[in-house]
Parts: sequence; structure tokens; C-alpha cells
Amino acid sequence: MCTEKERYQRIVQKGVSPFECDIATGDAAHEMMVKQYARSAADQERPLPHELRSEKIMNHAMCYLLHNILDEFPESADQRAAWYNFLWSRTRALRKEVTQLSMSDLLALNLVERCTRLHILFGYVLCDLETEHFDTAMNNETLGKCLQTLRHLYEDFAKRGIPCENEPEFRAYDVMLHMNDTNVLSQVLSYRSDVRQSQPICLALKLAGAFRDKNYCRFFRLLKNEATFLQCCVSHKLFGATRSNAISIMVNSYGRNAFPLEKLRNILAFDLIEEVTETLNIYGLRTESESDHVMLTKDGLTLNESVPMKPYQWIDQKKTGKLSQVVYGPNLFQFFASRCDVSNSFNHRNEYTNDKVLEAVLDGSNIPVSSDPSAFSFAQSAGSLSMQATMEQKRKMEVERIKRKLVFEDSPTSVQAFLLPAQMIFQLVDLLELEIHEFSVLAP
Amino acid sequence: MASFHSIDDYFSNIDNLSAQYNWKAGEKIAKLISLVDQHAEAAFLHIEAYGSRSKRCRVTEDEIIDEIVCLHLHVLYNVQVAQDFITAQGTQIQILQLFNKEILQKRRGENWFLPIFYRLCTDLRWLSKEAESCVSGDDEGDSSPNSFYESAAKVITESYRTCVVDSAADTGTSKKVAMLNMTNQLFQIYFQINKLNLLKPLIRAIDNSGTLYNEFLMADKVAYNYFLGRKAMFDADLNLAEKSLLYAFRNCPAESMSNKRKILIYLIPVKMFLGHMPTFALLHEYRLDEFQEVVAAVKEGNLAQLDAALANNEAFFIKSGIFLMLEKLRMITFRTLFKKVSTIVGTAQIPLDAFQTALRVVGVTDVDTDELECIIANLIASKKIKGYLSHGHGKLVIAKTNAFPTLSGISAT
Repeated sequence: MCTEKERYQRIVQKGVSPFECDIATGDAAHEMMVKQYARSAADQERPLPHELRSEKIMNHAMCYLLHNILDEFPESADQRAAWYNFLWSRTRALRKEVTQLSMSDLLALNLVERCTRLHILFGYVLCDLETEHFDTAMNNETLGKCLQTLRHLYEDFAKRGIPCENEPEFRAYDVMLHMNDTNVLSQVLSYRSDVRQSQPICLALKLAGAFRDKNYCRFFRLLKNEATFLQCCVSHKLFGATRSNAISIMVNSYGRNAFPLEKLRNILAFDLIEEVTETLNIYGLRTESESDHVMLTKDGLTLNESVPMKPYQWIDQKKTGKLSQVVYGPNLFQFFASRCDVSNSFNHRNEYTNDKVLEAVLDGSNIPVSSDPSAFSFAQSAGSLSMQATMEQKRKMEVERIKRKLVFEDSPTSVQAFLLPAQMIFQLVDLLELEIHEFSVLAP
Repeated sequence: MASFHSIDDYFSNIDNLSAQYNWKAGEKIAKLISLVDQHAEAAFLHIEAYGSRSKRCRVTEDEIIDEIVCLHLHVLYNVQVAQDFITAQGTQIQILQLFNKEILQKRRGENWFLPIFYRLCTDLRWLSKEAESCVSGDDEGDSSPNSFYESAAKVITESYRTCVVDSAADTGTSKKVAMLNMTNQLFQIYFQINKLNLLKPLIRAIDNSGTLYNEFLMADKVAYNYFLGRKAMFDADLNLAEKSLLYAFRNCPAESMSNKRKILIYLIPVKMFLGHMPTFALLHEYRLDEFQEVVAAVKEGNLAQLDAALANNEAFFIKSGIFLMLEKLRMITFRTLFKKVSTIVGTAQIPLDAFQTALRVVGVTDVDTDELECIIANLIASKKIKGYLSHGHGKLVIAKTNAFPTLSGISAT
């Protein structure tokens, strides 16, 4: 799930995430490594072939992330922050590859759809973390970008006449995120009629209408009775504003009277009475410990105070399964944790042996292929100690020679890295800040 | 405008006009560097980088106009041939920057060239819109949404600043007269990108323009009031909205039916919020029959009818940008209905059941007691009803006098 070069690079540069290490030993585990997001170099327009993954692997990577990482929701704030950053970076890499490869097939759509659901989920389950651990604004921005990509994909599929079965779901999220936006409203008009009249869109429009009407009662009732888990996650962002509006309206319309807390809890969609009193106190409304009512009075009202966000049980209960199932989508999520074959050009003795291109070439010619891999490996097998010493010397000389060559010839040069084992080649690359453009194999 | 046969023809025409130094000539040149004039179709004018050719036609009268024309041909090339709106928009920005630096800032005591500038701004807005729709969504993309509109606003604002400090005493040649047109241009951009608050200083400047206001063209004044009225609607300042839109409507010439209609589309909801319903005749005259059902429903206090009316004409209302406004009429409709109920019940203390019954009568069946209280609470909080709710007794207690004040008397919506 991670390209070979990146794996070596990150191991050497110590850029391996704890999520990619063997639990027992703490060592980097190649089969657990997932391609990281990295900005392209300024002049690098196209990715190089060895930096890309196959579609099958991309799909496997996403499922792996959902099954092995997402479902293991950690306890502490620090762990959650790391968990979020890992998932964000790895899924961002997937999205980037979709763009780089100009993928526009069903797999691309599925990947981006799942990324979108992921970011909706993050906004909700991490809502009670401090900004240093989880930046809501950044997450919202990413969510926006995912939705924009989806809009383009849906348009594209529509032009080709391919139906997208999840389109209503995501168009509805779009509406819910932009309840006050006329532009989004006019876009709804341009949806196909089957999308326009779908249940998610109708609900989203009703919800938006209730929100704009300041009908706090209907807003929460629609969410409780008709919305899915993810739809609640999206609307969760508006709970604070809706509730403070509600309190403001009630304080101005019920006179100086007592109002039952239980009713307030129900209307404003809290789980527990304690949560209601906590919120009311922050807004400057006093509650007595014995009483189950609150005096709705304007005195000392401080609606500008912000109430900390938190998840709710009534929302959590709407989940269709584990987090991985929620993000995977309506179809059943099944993942068999098979060990995906990790591509490796080097054998267990760090000899460069596995070169599919060379093998294909040699297969087609009549050069006898020896069955002993060491016969044409570039690293001599460890012989006597003196041999090894000579080897060491030769290697050092080789390194020096290459360095000199590069200092004097500033152009891309083909460096023949004889006699150097794999690890050393990459250390050299790093040391000299080389860019490998072509890894070709010379016959001995 | 007569069509041209050759590029020589085109250039010599502009050359002659540039020698005249009057407003009329300015207007004619404006047409010749616009993107929508007939000349824009002529293939021989779609030329990339004409200015760098060694052998070419020139506007000998005016070096800067010559440069502008060459850049204009470059824009035409990008629009018509290369279909590259991003480059076209960038080039148009260059033209405006050039105009600002070499003409607005350097030529004292003249303003005949302003029509050219107005045209350049309008075309820039169109190009910005086209450029925005070209940009695809990409995680690594540098352009943030609306960056083309922003760059357009920036160059127009810079030019605005140049004009505003023009010290020419004679208003006939002062560049200050451009203030209103440029304010209108910026209005349109800011409406698009939702940054209406940036207009505050510009609006204040117009308010403080004194006698200069008389020099502005009526067309610009009508447009300004139209935009001002629409902005006031967003700011929920109904009185300003009414005043501005009425001015625009009255001063818009009767021949411009479509413009008058555009103004009415916003004026009607404003008036309805203030409690004044349009007549059937008015709606029919301006082909705004879509409003008929809405008006009838609000007058009667019939919620279900209102919802149906909004749904039936949804496309029209959304396209006109007033759908969200009209939704707020629901509150007005509830108020009308509840006022009728209170008249029927007759006492100051009205059981909520009475309102519930009334809702059922007009076909609303999905509002329970909690939601009913919520709606009434909203009406009280927005001062449409004077009274208070008693949750414990399930009653609305209204004031003895004027419990349902006239809508025009209430300032907040």
C-alpha cells in the first residue's frame, strides 16, 4: 500500500508512523505502511511511474485504513489527534492519486465518497478536542474540497449517462452545509429529478427551511426522526447556533415564567438534564438544584458565550454498524485482512534481484539464466573477511567517485552504483540529495 | 456599429475617434473595445500578441489607447480561439491596470474616456465569471474559490481610489463622476461573492457626494438604488429597501420593461413584508403572475396554500434570488391566521388549541403543540405579536390593545 521507494525513504528518514509499526517489536512493518501525502515539487507536473499505486492496491489501502485504523478509535486526546492525522494524510494521498491519474471510474468515485464521509465523521467524533489536537476549520475545508471533487465527478458521470447510486446522499450533505446559501439552493434546481425528489434531498431542504425559519422545534425533530447518523453529524455543527437562538426567542416570549427542564431537554435535543442546565448556566440562566424548571428571564443573559461541543447518544445510536461500515457506505463492508504482497526488489540478503522488467527482457532472449540468484546479483555475497574488507574499500571508493562526478558534472548523470547494497544506495541518494529518475539494471 | 472589413479599417476608425476628445467619441470607442459588439465576431481581429508585431496598424493619435486595443485583440483571441478564459481575464485585468496608471492617474482635467473604462469593467466581470467556472476542484489547486472575482474587485477598487481624489473643480471634466458607475460594478461583484459588507465605505461616499450626485447619469442612479435596495433586504432594513427600490422603479423609464420587472421582483416581497399586497393588475402588467398565488395565500393566512405556491413556482423564485426571502413570508402568514383566531376568540387569553384548530382548517397537520409554541414564540420575539406564552396553562396572553401591530410599524423582520 506504499510504494517501495517511499518505504525505504521514510524508514531512513525516520518518517514512519507508529500506526505502521509492528505492535510487538516497534519496527517498521512494510506491509503496514501506507502511502503518505506529500506536496509535489514545484516543477513536477506528472508523477513518476514508481510513485503510483494500482487501483486494486488503492482500494485495498482504503479498506485497510477503515478496518484496521478507523475502527480502533483511541481514548486519549493525543492518541486521537495522531489517529486523525494519520487517516487524513493517507486518505489525502489517495485523493491526490485519483487526481494525478485523472481517474474517473467507479473506484475513484467510491474513494472520494468514502473520504467525504470520513471527514463528516471526524467533525463529529472529534468535536470535543482542542484546536491543537483537531482543527475543525481545516477539517471543514477538506470536507469542502472533497465535495467539490464529487460535484465534478457527478457531472462527469451524468454526461456519460452512468448513474451514481449515492449521489442523493452527497448532494444532501451539500445542501445541509450551506443552509443560508442561495447559490446552493439554485444548484438544487439543476439536479436530475430523481435526485431532486430523493429522500435525502427532501429532508435536507426541510431541515434548511426549519433552520432559516428559526423553527428550532422542527429542526431537532426532523433530525431525531428522519435523519441518518451522518446527516446528524453534518447538522451537529449548527446545534450551538440553533440552541442559542432558541433560548433568545424563548426568553423574549414566555414572560418571566418557569419552563420545565425536561421539555427543554427534549425540544433542544440534549441527552441529559445535566447538559441542559450546564448550557443554560453558560448562557446566564440560573437553575436551582432542587427545581426541575428554569426561570426564563432576560436578566444577565449572556448568549455570546460559546458552549463546548460534544457528541450525543441519540445521534450515536443511529450508526449502522462500526465506524468502518458508516464510512464504507450502504453496501456491506467486508474486509479480509490478507497480507497484501509487498513489492520488494531486494531479497532477504539485500541483494537486488527482483526486477520484473529485466526478467521479461531476459526471458525473451537466449542468455542463460542461472538459477543461483547470486550469480548475477550486484552485491557479492559475503565471502572471507578480507574479501569483505576489500568490498568495503571498494564501496567507499565508489561513493567517493560518485560524489566527485556529481560535483563536477552538474547535469543529470547516470550513476552506476555497483557493489552497493540496497540500503546504501538510498542512503547515498539522501546524502547527496539525488533524485532517482531511472533505476535501470545493467547486465554484468 | 458598422462592421469592419479589415483590421486597418478598425484601427483607423479608433484613430479618428481618439482625436475627438469628447464623451460621445468615448462611448463609440467603448463599443469598439467591448466583447459583445459586432466587431468581436470578426476573425481577423482575433490576434494573439498583436502589440509585439513589428509591422502592424496603430492608433497613432493615442499611444495608450493603441496598447489597449492590442491587448483587447489578445483577449478576443483567447475568448474566441483559444477558449482560455483564465488568460483572457488576466489580460483584461492588465488593460484596466494600464488604463488606471496611464490615463486615470496622468491625464488631468479630462474625463471623456470614462465610458471606455465602464465598458472594460463590465467585460471584466463577465470574464471573471467565465474563468471561475473553468477552474476544477483539486486538492492542490492554488486558486481559492472566487479568486477571479477578487482580482477584478481589486483592480476596480484601485481605479476608484484614483478617481475619487480627482481635484478637478469643474464637475464636467472631473473623474469623480465615475464613482457611481464603479460602485455599481463593485456591487455586482460583491453580490456574487457574498461580501456586501465591503460596500459600506463606498455607500457612505455616495451619501456624502453632495452636489456631485446631480452629475451622475440617471441610469447609474437607478442601478445604484436597485443594488442598494437589494442589499438592504439582506440587512433586513426594510425601510431603506423600500425607499431605494421605489426610487429605482419610478425613475426607470417605462420602455425598459425588463428592468422595471427586475426591480419589482424585489420590491414586491419588501412591500409584502410591510403589509402592502400588490394588486392583480400590477402583477399582470409586468408578467409577474407567479406571485398571484403567494399573495392570495398570505392575505388569507393559508399556510398550505403558501407552501404550495412557493413549490409550484420554485424555479422562478430561486432563479430570481428571492426564494429565501419569500420563505420568510410564512411568518407573516401565520401572523395573519393567528390574528383572525384572536378576533374570533375575542378574549385576551387564547388557548393554544384554538390556533391548532385553525391550522388544521387550512390544511396544516404536522405541527404539534411544541412546534406551535415555537412558532408563536418566534412571532412574539420578532414583535409581530404583543403578548406572552404561558406554557403551563397552554395559552397565549395578548396585550389589550394593538396585540397584532401593523407590519409597516415594526422595524425588525
